[in-house]
Amino acid sequence: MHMADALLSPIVAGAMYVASGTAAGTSVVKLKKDDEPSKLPTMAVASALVFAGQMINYTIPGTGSSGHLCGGMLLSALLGPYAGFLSMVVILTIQCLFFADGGLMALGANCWNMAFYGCFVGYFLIWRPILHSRWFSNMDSKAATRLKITIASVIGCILTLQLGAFSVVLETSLSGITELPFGAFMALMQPIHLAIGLVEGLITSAVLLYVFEARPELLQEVDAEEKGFQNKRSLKATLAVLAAVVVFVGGGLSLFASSNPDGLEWALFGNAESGYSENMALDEDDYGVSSDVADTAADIQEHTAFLPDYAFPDNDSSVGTTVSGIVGSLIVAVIAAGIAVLGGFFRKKQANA
Amino acid sequence: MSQIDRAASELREMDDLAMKVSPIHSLHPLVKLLVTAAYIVCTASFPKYDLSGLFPMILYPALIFPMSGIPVSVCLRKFRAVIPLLAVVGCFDLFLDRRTVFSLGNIPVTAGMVSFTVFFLKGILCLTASFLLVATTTLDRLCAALRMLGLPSALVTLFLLTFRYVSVMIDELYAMNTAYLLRAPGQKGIHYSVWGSFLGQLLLRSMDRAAELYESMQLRGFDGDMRYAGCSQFSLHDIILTAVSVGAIVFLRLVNFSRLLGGLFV
Amino acid sequence: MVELRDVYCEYEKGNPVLKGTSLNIYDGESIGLVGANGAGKSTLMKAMLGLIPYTGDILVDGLRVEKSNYQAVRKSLGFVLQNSDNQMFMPTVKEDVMFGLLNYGMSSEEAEKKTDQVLSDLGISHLKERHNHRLSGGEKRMSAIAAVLAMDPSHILMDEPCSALDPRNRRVIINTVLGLDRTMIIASHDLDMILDTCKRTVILSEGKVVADGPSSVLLTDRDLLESNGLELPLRYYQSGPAGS
Repeated sequence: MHMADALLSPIVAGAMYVASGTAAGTSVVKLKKDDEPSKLPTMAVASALVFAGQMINYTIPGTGSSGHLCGGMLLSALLGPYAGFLSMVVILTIQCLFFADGGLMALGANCWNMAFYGCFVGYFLIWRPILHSRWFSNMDSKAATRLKITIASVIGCILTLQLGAFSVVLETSLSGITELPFGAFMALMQPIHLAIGLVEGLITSAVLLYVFEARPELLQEVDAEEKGFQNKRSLKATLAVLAAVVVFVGGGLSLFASSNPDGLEWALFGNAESGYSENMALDEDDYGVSSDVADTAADIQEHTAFLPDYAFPDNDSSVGTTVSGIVGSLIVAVIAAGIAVLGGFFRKKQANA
Repeated sequence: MSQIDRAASELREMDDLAMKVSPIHSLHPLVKLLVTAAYIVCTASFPKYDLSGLFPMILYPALIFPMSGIPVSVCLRKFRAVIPLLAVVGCFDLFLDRRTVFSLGNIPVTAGMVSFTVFFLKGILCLTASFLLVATTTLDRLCAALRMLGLPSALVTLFLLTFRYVSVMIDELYAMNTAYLLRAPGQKGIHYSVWGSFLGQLLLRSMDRAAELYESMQLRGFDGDMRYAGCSQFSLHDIILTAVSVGAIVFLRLVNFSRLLGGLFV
Repeated sequence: MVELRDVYCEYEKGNPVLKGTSLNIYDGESIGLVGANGAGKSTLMKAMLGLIPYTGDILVDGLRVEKSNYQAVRKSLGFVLQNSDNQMFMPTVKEDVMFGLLNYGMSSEEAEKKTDQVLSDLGISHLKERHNHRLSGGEKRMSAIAAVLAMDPSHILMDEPCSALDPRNRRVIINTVLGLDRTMIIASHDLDMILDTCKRTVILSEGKVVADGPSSVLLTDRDLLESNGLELPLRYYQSGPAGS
């Protein structure tokens, strides 16, 4: 799910940097305020472990394929949401810088898609409510906690991966980079990540269960009873919270979609395209672009871009510019080769000096 | 299980590259960081059909690779992470946008072909730029630059510590994985019955390790704030260099350099 | 001078690791701390450094080891961990050696100068810019010693300084230890190394001091050693294992 720089426009990438930066800033403040520095080494070792652990193949029974570890849920269950988020940010940064997994400009978006949901949504809306719930209260408390850990891990990984995948689609579409329609892109991404989320959830729960058996005090929110946690939510209340989330997310989406009768995909896909289609002198109806949202977005896009959208010239009108572009590019290629030779020469000269 | 092995050798490789000596390596890390950021933003902001405008951006890697002595082949290997992604997302343009925009001889060139190329080139160029940054700057200097930009010390400390322990963990997991596979011939990965204990064991051991690590930090006076050796001042020379480089990059972004050059001849 | 009086220490309630340990360590001494696994060697060291709670008294140069004195105590006791990876947490050797110095308020320039000096004293100046994860086992151990030495402690505590080292690197460490002009407290199972480096030996068993005397006497006493889960140093072992 690591996005490359090319998938994003600088505007969207910048917005995501602001969003992730805010979350990271809050986490740093929070960590400083209610925590001792002793947490830093634990965070570092845990994130290093998750980083390496993501490279281990876990064979999925009955299939030839293998799954991987889902970092966000695991880290926030071990370290809490704030420390977990910062650890994930560090993991993603190292992946980006040293392994070219995800671009530098897309780092803000990647942190949001993969760390924010896993740590904050996963923790506050899934992990904590479920572990504090009165589910399975007819069973002995250890067995009940085991079940709750499993359920929270699986639901958490599935939900946060779905949100992440949806964000990838949204960010790409808002950037107006590809012709791939929003709906088709979504249909491609969401089901794949449903399967991935399920497997990652099972792996995460297996690891967390092992920790629970051996050292339960390492898990967040688990010893709630012994710490005298009073605010136990009932199953109903937890379901109500989950339902509210579903309504909120779903409602938001349909609101978005309803602004354009032709459907969600064109509403989002079209907005980035409208500038282009105008310039191409194409009939807007072909694209079904007419929503206010789309127009505003296009406006913003146009005003914030360095240059207004560069339109590809029509066949018959400006062959000249095309040819000059091609010839120019060839010259650039020659210059590049020349620079490369000179640059090497310069370095060697300095090395000898 | 070559993946974890490969990761270890890639980390070593990047270390070695960053320790080299060249005019680029000796630049102030903040200069490199700012110029790289400007380059990536400008490259990514090219409109989707502006191939001739985008193309001159290759001048930047063409200059930096030879000057830094970083072999292009190492960078090419990094592409394997991004090429499938670019290909999958980009290829839809080829099918969905088939209006012919011009012909090269008898071959019709469609808008989709152009936008696919632009998309692909952008991806490669952005990746190359960040690769060049990391390959020519040691981690401690990069972190010093981040501190100068005002990143909180907790985050930078975490980054340094994590990076240090990534290689330790890779070694440990590699050994565990080898031990597992030697006794589980024919398996491609970890069987689900040991999913939990495999990583869980290491996790518990690592928590003890973290405790010892914290002790050893305390013994040497750690009180929650990290003090760094720091980095040389950002001099006037560095400011000018940054301004000129960023200026050149922005120029390439604003002016279609290919067409400008071509116009002189056509 | 380090004084331990009737020290009790426990990780779990009701299961003490140190059970009334008393010991005086005088300035300039080299003491070998030996005993079977679980005898309490590491725990004793950690208690001296204030890393784990204890009851009884531990005085370092007259200062009781307790929270208000941690900084002073840790300034005079340097601790070389068994696992250098846990000690060398910064990316490069230079940064690691400088870490403690900067924390104790030295300026960057002073700290770097001190680092250069310590590294050259130990003959490892070439490691200065190296990455910690690229060092060999011997190089790691030497760098860890440098990081501790840089802080000029009057006492140095070492936990298994020669574990997992090849014979040549082991010899390098032994020579380094011999060249250090400080009070040394070395915990190890490598009795030959203790014989080479320490005049005095303390044998711990189940959290108590069971023997304390010259190394040349204690470490040649086969019965004493074997009753405490140890064996004669190899150099006295030519006649083969006991009973054969």
